[in-house]
Amino acid sequence: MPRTLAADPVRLPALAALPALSALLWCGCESAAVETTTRQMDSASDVALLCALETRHEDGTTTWAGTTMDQCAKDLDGDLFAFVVQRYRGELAAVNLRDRRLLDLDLRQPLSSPVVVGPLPNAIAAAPDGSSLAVANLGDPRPGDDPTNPDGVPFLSIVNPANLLPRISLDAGRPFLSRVPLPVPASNVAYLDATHVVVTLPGLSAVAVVTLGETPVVGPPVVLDPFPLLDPEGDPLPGLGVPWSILVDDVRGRLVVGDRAAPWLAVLTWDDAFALTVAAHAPDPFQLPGPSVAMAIEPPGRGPAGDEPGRWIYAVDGSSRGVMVLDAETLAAIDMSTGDPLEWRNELIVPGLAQDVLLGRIAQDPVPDPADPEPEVMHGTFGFVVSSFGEVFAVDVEDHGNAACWDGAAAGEGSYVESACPRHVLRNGIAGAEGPRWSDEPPSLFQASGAALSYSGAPPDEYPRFHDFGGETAEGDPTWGVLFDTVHPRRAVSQTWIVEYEGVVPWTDGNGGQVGDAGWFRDRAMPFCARGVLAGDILIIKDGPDPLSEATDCSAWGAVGQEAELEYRIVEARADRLLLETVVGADGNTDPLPTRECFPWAVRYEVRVGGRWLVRGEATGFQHHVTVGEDPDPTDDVPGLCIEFPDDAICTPYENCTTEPVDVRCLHDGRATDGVIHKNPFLCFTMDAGTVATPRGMRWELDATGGFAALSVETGSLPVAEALDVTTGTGPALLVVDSSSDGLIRVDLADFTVSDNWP
Amino acid sequence: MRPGKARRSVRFALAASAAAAALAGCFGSGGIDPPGHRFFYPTGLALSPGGRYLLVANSNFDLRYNSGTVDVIDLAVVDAEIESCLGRCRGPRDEAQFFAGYDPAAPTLDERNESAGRHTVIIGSQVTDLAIAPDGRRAYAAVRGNASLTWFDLDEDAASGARVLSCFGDPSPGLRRCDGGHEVIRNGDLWLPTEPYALLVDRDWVFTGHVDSGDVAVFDVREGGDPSLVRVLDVFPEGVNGFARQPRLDDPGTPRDESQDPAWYWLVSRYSTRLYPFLMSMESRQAGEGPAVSTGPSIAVDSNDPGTDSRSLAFSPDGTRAFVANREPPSVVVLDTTLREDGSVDGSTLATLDLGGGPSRLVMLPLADGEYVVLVVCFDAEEVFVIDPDLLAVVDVFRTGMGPHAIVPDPARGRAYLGNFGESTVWVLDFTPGGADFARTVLEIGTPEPPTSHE
Repeated sequence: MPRTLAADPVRLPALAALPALSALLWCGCESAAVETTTRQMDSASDVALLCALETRHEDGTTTWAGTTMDQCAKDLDGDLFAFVVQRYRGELAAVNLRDRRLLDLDLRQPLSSPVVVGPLPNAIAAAPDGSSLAVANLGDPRPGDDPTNPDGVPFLSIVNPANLLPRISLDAGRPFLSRVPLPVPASNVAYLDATHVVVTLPGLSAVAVVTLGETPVVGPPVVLDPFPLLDPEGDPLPGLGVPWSILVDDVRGRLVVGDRAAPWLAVLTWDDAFALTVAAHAPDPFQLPGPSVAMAIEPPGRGPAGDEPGRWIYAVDGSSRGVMVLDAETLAAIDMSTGDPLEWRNELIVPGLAQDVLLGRIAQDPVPDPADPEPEVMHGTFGFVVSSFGEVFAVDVEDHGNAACWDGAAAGEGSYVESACPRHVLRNGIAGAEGPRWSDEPPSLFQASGAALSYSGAPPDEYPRFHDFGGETAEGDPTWGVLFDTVHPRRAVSQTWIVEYEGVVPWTDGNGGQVGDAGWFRDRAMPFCARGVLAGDILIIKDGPDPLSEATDCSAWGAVGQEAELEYRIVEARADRLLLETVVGADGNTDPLPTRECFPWAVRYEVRVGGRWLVRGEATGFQHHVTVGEDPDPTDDVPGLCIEFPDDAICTPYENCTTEPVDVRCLHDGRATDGVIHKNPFLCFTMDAGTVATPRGMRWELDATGGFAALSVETGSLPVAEALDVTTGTGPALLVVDSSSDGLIRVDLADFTVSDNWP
Repeated sequence: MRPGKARRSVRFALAASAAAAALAGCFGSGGIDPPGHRFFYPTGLALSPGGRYLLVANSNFDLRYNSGTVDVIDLAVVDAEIESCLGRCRGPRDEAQFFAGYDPAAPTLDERNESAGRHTVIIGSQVTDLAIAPDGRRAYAAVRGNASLTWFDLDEDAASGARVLSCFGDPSPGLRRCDGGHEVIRNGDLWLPTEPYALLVDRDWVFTGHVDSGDVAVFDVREGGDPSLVRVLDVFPEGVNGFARQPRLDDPGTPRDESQDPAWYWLVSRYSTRLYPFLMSMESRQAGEGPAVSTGPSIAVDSNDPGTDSRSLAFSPDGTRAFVANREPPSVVVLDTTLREDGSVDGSTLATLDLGGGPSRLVMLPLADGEYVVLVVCFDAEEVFVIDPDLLAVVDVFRTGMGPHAIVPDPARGRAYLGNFGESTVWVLDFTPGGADFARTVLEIGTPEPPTSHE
């Protein structure tokens, strides 16, 4: 959803007053009388903030006027309203954030909102001066459903808050809602200035400017597919078939449009008459990691003069569940894979699916001591990511604790050099910790003593909520578990793992193996590469021969119809098949290669590791020297080869999780677990793999280091959008709407806790 | 308050009456034979491949009768009725007139009703789903009441006077009960588990998912043979509730050698957060063990918290996207199911879209020019949500009758048929691209009969 954030820093009350303030808010919330009819919201899809000033006249009447957000911040008489679009009701709800009441906008019909904005409203935006609100609907009105719109013309709703907020004016018949006909439904809307809005029109693959006023005018749609510009060689640039997200970078005079599915952006400019011109296809080269389905830009105001444009754009990646960080100038995505070791990825990845994102600047007064950082205190520029998982995550954009980021002798001394220390890491939520960091302690590895707690002894909903720790070995022992620090239950301090030597590769036991010709063995259901199978491993066929014809002599493989342990060395491992050779098995015998004549049916099998350590676990990026390489012969029908990196030593030092070699993607253990890639390891382990062979299947306990839990707060189910309240009247807070449990949640940024919710 | 919530009391009444009726049914003898010309708690719908008939499975949920039925609706009559209404009929219509074989000229009401039941067959109670084989010659029903896979011969081109649907030796028309040979409950010592709920019918195999145990029963129907229970898989979590076959890009044009490149089947569960793939490979080596079944890496519905209780799923026509109806919270989760180089599925979550309460069935409806929409039936909210796969957004919502559940697309007509379980009706929904009634009901078949009106 597009949003415009206030540029002014916020001055928080003294830190000492925060707990009291928070408590006061809670008490006030619990004891406040319900004076108006409240009503559950329903499937909220977006929220916008609007500041309005109330004037009481001598004749007893009251008028309201929308105004700029900073007016609301400076003037405590101003009331801040949250306008929430309700997707399936097609209505607009309003909450007065000052007195925390859902407004009953029509006294005559207490259970009905008079602000009917049309079918399936998807986005809302507020004018910079508070003079109006605009709502875009994805739904296409149909003829006959609405008597006021008999032809079913798509429209943009424009709300006049001055006529809406004084409820009495509804009786007076003052118009508070107008409709601007559009050629097709709009998916999104944003203000260019107080009287000009831009809408995305997916049905036309276009954007258009609407000029508001007595007689609104819809400008000509600017079609983005086919893209109106050519590349330097004169070739067509890929278009935006489904324009979706809008970002107004008014300091740079840019309009950035993202597509619902295409991983690139369109950059447009506007002239004095607000005519749009496509200026660029971005970035160059135009490939982003994924489509930008929601975007937010850092508010302007950095630098000594406080007038520099925002440096970063955060964009929700519609294909990866993460958030991309773009350079606001070049619109190129930043590759963060070489950054913080705990952020071993090129995006910010959160549990669940990123739904919305925004960036804001928060200034504490006084500035907290960087040498003694308190993770609860947020000072600087932060990103906030709403996850479908029902959480909001805080992202550190700058590193105020790093001395190198200051022009003085130490952290906190001199001025903070904002351009020097971009950070973009999930904010650590562990009290007392300095943030995500990597332990310098030497790794340790010791045999399990049985003292480790099983996972069932720990609070399963605290950490890590998106992994299944219910596994057991054949003997019934827990395969892994988490030992929790009793003081900080979200901080896992140890974890139990299975470390096997020449053991069975996890999840490689199959019952659909098919013997092929010339030593090939196939099971299409088994992703051998993803499971970590390598050349040199041992395939064990567990079924004896069962020939089709009694005339075939299969006695070389044992008795017909009996179980067996036929062992073969894997000389080539591919995505769904293996090439076998004979080997002297554990029983000292050499089993001949199986033939189709003697093994015409599916067989049971498993793969045993050949001569090296295998680490099995979850929640962290253990490295394994495996990658899926290029197909050696694309002309055949054999998929790509499982490539063994030529030098085992490159992947074996587990000094930390950042030592992934260049040009090879060491296998994450997560890939061996149902194909899940943990791009954002919340825990990282160091270990000494050792060089001494140990008995197969022995359990070991590993010390965990660098325990990390992201700073997050739980919201209602399926949150979809957020807005940043930067007024002093109510304190800096996030407002998060969730679409499933029908609520609006206020997150106090002073301590990053939920401080209120409506209704 | 949403109308769906207002009707909750009705559903409670329904549940109570069902429980009472269940007890009565247990102790009764014989009971009342079901009508052949009525809907009563429909739970399964299936469209014959040629588009001539709509089969409606009635569950007899409250055990009012001693059995359930499968009705045959003549879609030519439906077409004519809609045409007579100039595209959109107002008000419900009595269902009997749409039954195949209905004779409006019969002199008495009883005779007209009897004519409406000429093609109806009687099956066990509590049918949960109904499906037709790809070749159109067989229909199958998962029946909880007698824990069977009940099957029917289907003759869409039946000559006048011959049965469209039969599950007994005698092919002559008339309301009649399926014989035991068409109710598969065991194969030797291999018994079909209780509570068959989900059903998937493919060319060579039929699967039933059993909601309490999580078992998946495999029936061999290769080369047109009678269904034979050949395996019961116990590797999946409890609560198996929905199946889908993952299409492949080359499915429509190029016949694949499925012995070398078999299709992936997927299932979802009420008690798991994951989607489980499996495939049928070659004949198992062990005599009597049935075909070999391989399971693939499961993928997680991890965009939702808790993400359990998935009820159904469907794939895009090219198989690269899976749409999953999930109830925790009520939503549709869209997953990228593109096959990676290593043969595994991508599994990335593309979107999670909030819905009304109680999503149950989800189907993909092909439109013209390769386009399609996804339809999700929400039982509690009593709404159908229409999802545009390009926008990955809900683009329409419309009210249904009470307790909507079963839905089947009819791409050739640009329609879908919706079974309103709670009021025993079937609605015809229009999905003609660009039409004025897109995503609207154009005909209501059956007089709504809320549960409380049942004696």
